[in-house]
Amino acid sequence: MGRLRGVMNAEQFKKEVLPVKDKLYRLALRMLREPADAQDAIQEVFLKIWRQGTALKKIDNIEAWAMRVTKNHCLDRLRSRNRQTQALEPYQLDVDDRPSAQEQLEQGEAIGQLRELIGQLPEKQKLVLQLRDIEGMAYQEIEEILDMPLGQVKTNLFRARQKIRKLLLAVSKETNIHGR
Amino acid sequence: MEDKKLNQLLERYFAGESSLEEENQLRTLLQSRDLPEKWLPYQAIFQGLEQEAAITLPSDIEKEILAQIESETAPRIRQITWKPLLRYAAAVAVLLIAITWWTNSLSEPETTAGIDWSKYEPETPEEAAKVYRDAILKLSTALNNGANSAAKNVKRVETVGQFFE
Repeated sequence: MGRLRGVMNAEQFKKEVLPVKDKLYRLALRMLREPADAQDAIQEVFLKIWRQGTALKKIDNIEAWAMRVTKNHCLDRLRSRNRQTQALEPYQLDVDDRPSAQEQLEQGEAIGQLRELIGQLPEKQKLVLQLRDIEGMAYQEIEEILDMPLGQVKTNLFRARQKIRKLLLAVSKETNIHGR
Repeated sequence: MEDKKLNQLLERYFAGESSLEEENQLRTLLQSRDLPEKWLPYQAIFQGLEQEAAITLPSDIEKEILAQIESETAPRIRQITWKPLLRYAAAVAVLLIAITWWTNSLSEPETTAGIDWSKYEPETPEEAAKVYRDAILKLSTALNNGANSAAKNVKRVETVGQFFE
């Protein structure tokens, strides 16, 4: 997504900024865990972006910048509600978004456990994993969004992936033992 | 062959050394339906990640966002309000003028009338005597005028006094 020039109208906004909505929503959902909360946050973030007006033209990478705005907004929400210390359940998707019963059987419980594990990772590991392994972002963009040096990005990613590997292998062993 | 490639890619992935391209390759290889059992836990990881990446913002929320944006006018352009700036500029100008005037008045040398008194100095005793006589004459004339004027005023006061008697 390129640099925006001049004052943006609603049409340009739809074309240039709105396409990042799903990425922003997934990030908000990862951080806030509750879909309704994440949806409110995203509405607020988009209004915040829209109200930037001419300031938007100074932004080189609108996607990375919007992700950063979302991250900071969600952190503010978490702080204001003092939720960081609360252990929340992993979010539940609407019925339509869930995989079919057949798919669930095929994927087993590992996927559900994966979501739970990601939710329980320390904040930095969770965010780095979200941006790299779910959004497929380059390290440079992750550095920019999280305002984190490259070394820390890689360390957090390494730790998050190791935890996931351990969990999945453990679940797999358990399933094999019970299956036999 | 694919087994070896998968193993290499997974090692790099879990060591945090894989590139985005390698991670995409890994995803593609793990999508295969007839994978040997040993790769299934890894397949589950990538399936789970893809499932997370498929989550989208509900369309009603997107509509709400668009409605909110369209209900607001175009983004406000930050306009410079000149009025307060002009006030500050005027105040600064007045201050500068005052300071300039004050500093100039301090640094200006005191100007005195350049009278060359030497021109009026008498050169001979006769001239000096003449100057002296003229000065005395002027003084006595002024004294006489003063005395006459005082006598006149006394007479007037006496006349007024008689009137009241």
